[in-house]
Amino acid sequence: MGSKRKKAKGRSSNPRVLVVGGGAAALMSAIELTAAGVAVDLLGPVAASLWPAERAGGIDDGTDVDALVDDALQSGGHLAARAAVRSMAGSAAAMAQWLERIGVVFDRDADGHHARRRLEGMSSARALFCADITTALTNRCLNTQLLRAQSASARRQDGTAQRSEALLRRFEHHELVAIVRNDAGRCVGCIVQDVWSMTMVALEAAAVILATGGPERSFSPSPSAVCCESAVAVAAKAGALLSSPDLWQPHPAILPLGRFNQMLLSSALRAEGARYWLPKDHQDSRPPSAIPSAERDHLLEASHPELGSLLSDRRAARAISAQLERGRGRFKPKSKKAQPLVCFDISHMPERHLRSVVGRELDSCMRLGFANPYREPLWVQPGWVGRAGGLWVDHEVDASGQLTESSPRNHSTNIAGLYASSAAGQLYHGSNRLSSNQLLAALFAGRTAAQSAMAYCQAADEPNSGNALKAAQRDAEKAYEQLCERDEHTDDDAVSLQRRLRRALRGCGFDPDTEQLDTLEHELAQIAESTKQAGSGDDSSWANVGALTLRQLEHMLVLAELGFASAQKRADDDGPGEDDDDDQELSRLRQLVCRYHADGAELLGPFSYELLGQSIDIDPGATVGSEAKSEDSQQEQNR
Amino acid sequence: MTSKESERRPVVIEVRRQPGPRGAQSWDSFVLEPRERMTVADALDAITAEPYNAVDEQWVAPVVWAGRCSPAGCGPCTLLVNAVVRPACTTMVADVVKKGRPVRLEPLRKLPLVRDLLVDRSRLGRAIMALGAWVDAPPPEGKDKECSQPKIDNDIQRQRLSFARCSHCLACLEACPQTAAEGRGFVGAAAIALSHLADLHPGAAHGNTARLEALMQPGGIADCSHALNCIEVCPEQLPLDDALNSSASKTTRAFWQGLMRR
Repeated sequence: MGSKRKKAKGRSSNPRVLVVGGGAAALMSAIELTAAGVAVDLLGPVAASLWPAERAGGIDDGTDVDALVDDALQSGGHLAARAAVRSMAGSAAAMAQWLERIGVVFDRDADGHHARRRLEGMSSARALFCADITTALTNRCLNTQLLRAQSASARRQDGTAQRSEALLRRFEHHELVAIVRNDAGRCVGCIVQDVWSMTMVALEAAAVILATGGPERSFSPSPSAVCCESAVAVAAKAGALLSSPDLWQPHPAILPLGRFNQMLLSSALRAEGARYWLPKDHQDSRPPSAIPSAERDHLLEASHPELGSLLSDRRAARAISAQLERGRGRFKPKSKKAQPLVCFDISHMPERHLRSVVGRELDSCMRLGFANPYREPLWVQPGWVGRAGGLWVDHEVDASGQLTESSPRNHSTNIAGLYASSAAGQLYHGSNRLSSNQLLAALFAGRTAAQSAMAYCQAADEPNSGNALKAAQRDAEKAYEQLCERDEHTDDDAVSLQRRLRRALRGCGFDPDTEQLDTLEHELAQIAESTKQAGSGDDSSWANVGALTLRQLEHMLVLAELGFASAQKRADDDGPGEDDDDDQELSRLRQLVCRYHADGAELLGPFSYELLGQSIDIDPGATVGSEAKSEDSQQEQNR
Repeated sequence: MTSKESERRPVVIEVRRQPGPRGAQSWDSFVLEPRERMTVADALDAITAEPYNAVDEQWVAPVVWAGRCSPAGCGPCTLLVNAVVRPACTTMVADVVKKGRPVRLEPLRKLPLVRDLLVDRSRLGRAIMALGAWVDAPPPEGKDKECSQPKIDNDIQRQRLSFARCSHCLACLEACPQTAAEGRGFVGAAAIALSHLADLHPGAAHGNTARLEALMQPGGIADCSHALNCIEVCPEQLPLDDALNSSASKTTRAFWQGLMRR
């Protein structure tokens, strides 16, 4: 293993920035950095092909900046940073235009003008979209732009340059293992593991940008090559603060798929006219398509006439689950433990139109054996799909109430030199990610984080990494060896433990009560205990997925524990809440900041957390002026 | 045998194993209880959780495969099911079970193998680099106040959209008789389609000559034998014949024009 050690040199002549992730935010950061001539190491799989479900369904075109800001703040429970949202809204038009220029094919109406969609939580139809592949296509286009930059720089250098000086180095099939800080507490690089050869690689970096997306693996299975939890948990272990890890992202339309999997129906379906309903008569046993319209109770239209099924994800999911908890809804025949389901109906729309704009999604429903959505309603349930909270990140506000451009503080975590963009950090979304803003926030955050990292590299003197990288690499190698050598003392393997964790988290309702929290605590403790006993089940030294799964499980548990701790704190502070009152929920929500205490020996350590704005204990020497920063953001974030 | 009966019988899944690029091949048989709506991906999930070879009656290492997103839309789970290239996430096991015969899963053969069913998919990225299949556009600058773009002809729009659906799954490469395992041979229909897509972009005119020259290199469009297997296996039903034909005619025209100019 030692013979294959690689180390990036040449930092003094040309600072390298390490970007972790493969989605829109990461690609955008890499494009921005390479365009400015800053060398980039991009860590992560080819996002273009690995992007999960088409969830975004469109991107705000920025024609009405004020409406965009209002929609974003409102749906996020006023927890998003105002200045950041304002800046993002101001860049929306330019961003959409640029996307079209790099090849994203936005839909046009019959006259050749842009078609626009009104997605969930939007006060008007402003979202540009590309049939049902907006996100996937955007990522692929960003990827080709990066390939273009790579090819151009290769041509310029004409093959004479050393590999270590290449403008862009891609580390696909590598996973982040540790973030390395020097004696002064600054981030000086990362330890990453090649998941094919399993060698540890020490990458020195002037700055590191985490752009791994929301930590969502704990909620739904995702491509095995990426684990968003890992990066966030690694940052947490290195001492980065987390912001509201108990705020989870609900989704109002989930098709349960088999025992463990689920398919998320995109918000595009609701934008195209899908409605929720249940038969007025609870005992009605007719097939849903046989129930006439007058005997259907359209749930969201009744309670929220102004938005109907276009309620933002969080409010829609809350409203529906409140109805289902009251004993309405149907159970799937034959299933014992299943949750009640509700009708999600788009069959009243013309089939030809649906085929052209959401055909792929509806077709795959049919292929997977669900009802024919062109003719019949689908049975769905609301549930958790990810986290709205992420790493705590700073931002600097200028006089006009927007982000200060090229401030090294924007998107900086409390560790100097470690940046988190988009969903890995917590700036633009608050308690709910609006689908029309997901892609926009990713692109804008990617760009802003890149600019901040560049400003940081210019301002900061060269950090002395000392022997920190070498020591960290040795530690990581040792930890990995121990992980592989662990004997299996339990019947539970990492895969089923991950499933169990997913079930435990998904079982939590909105506003979990003491009973639910106790159950969760108990379950988490058991899973953590079994995890310590579990082995990798694979003794291969090549592409050992068993060991990776086990390590990812450990990382997922770190975040689950942090999430539980802050949920408990929230419940203790607030007492039991009402079930179905939106406004009350909004007034109760606020950001909690917590940190992970790593003492190295324990997998799960104790946590301390305080309300934002009160003193947050930060490592001495972590960042100059951190306390001042948190107060700034408190004014912004605490309404 | 009715479909109900076949659903109730245990399913035998045979997976081709190979510990690494140079390791020896072997087969493992797994027996699964049939479940409603089980896809090949679900089956692989179940096997990964409990890798028990029922024929040899022993526990084996978990099967390594490229996992998937929520169903459909990305490409990496593409593999060979009973020697036919298919995406694992949307292929129903019930559809591929033939009376009493096991379902055989193999990795794509035209891409370098990493382990078991996992292959190195970087070939397409290199092909895109070689063909220059992108639109030349500088990073975003300034603050445009409105997203204005000239009107686009509906026909071009439809064509672009159909090619934009390419999920980079590389099923076309696998089915093509002209591509070779070691990255030599024909560049593949996906890369040609992406290059064609870039040509269809309204602002793409100046990038054209470089792309045409790249298409005329060995391994380019001239290597297409027009077997059109790619169209049959494409899960997104791309009109690949349009891309291939149009690339062929474009390069032919460029070739003659080049001769005339001499």
